[in-house]
This record gives sequence, C-alpha cells and structure tokens, in this order.
Amino acid sequence: MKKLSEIKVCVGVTSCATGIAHTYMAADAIKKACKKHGIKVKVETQGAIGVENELKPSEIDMADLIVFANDVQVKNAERFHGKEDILFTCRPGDVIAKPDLIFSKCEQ
Amino acid sequence: MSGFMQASHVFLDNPATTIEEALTFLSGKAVELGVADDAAAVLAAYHKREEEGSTGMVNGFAIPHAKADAIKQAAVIVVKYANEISDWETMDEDKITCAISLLVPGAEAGTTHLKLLSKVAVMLMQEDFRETVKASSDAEEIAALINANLEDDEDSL
Repeated sequence: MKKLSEIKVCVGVTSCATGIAHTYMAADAIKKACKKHGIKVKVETQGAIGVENELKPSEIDMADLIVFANDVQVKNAERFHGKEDILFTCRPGDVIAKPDLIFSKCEQ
Repeated sequence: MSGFMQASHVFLDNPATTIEEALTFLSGKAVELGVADDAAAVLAAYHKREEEGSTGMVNGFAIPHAKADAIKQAAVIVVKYANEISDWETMDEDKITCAISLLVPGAEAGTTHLKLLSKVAVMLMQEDFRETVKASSDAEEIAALINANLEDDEDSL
C-alpha cells in the first residue's frame, strides 16, 4: 500500500444488502475523505437501481488506492485482479462511521 | 418533485424508547399513510434489515429501511423522539433521537423514486442537514428541507 502522500487517484466500489442507503452513504464518505486530502476520486455504486459511475479499465489502472466497501459480493470484481496490493476492503458501515479508515493501511 | 416529502410524513415528540416500539410505529404509519398495505410485513422487513447490521448512524440518527412487496410506493417517514431510544446500536456514543426511514417497494420499483430515497440517505452524511433536523420542531420545515436537498442536483449520484 502506498503512502497517503503518494495517492493521487482513488477509485471505489460500494454496495449493500438493500442497495438504497448504505451504498450511497459509503460512496459519499469515500469521496469526502479523498477530497479532504486532495485526492481525485470516483466511486462506482452497485445499488438497487443498478451500477452507476461504472469504473473504466483505464480509471482502475490510474488508481493508487482501490476501496471496496461492500456487504454483498462486488460485481465484475475481475476488473481488479492483480491490484490486491492497493486494495482496501471494508464494510459500508465502517467507512460511513470513519471515512479516513480507507487510508489506515497506507504506509507511514 | 418538490412535493415528494410531505409534512404529514413527519412525526414529532414520539414517545418510543425502544427500537421495537420505533419500528412498530413506523410500520403502522406506513399503512395509515397509504404507503403500504400490511404493517406486519413492513415490520418484518425492518427487522430483517436491522439483523444484517444496525441502521443506527451518528449524531443520534438512524436510517431504518424496509423493502417489501407490501410497500406500494417509495416514501420517507421522519420521526423525532421525545426521549432517547435506549437499545438502537449506533456508530458513535450518541443514542438515537431521530429516525429517517426509507420505505422501498418490492418488485417493479421505478428507478426515479429509488434514487430519491438514496439521496435522502446521503443527506444524512451532511452535518448541517443533521443539525437542522435536530434543531427543528416543525414538520413543514423538515419536509421542506428534504425537498430542497432533493432538488439540488449538483452532486448527483
């Protein structure tokens, strides 16, 4: 995992059981945490209305940090294969409660 | 769209002190307001969601939500409690004093209305929104605040 100061681009994927509330609250939390640190961010929501803000392969390639905040299985997770070293995984509730948690595995 | 959230869906000074009382009240009101046709089914859906993880958040807010075939239209019900809800697990030390509940129709739900519900959920992430709801004891004001935020499409999801 890179140092926080080296993270320029972050992408995320959020989902939850009902796909109505926590999916979108977690996306909001990730975006706020990144903006606070001047990090460019895009979050794909996999909710009840379907996938929105779908991440393109080129965007995933640009990422210095990938955040999965999910209660249910990530759709199309194969897009992120080989990126495990920059992947942070948590539950939506975790990042809603503590948005800066997404940086907790970053090197000091 | 300005009329999505109605003052008739906002309840103040509710006497509930337990999560069971709170969810039972919400389920009953969902039927009274014509949002759902089976209170028991709505209550079961609320319970199912809470069992997957508490919908208690921060600053005394909870976002209980139910998805059921008994729910006929997407709706939001806001309840402010006269006392703290003692047994609703939260993300911080605060006890729940306000519930913003989302009622989600089962099958064939229109995307438009589901998006509105999700936008209400994201409002809860804004501290100034939470503070305004907390400070208000006016159903019209709370409904208008939610409607105003729904119209603000600046940060669309």
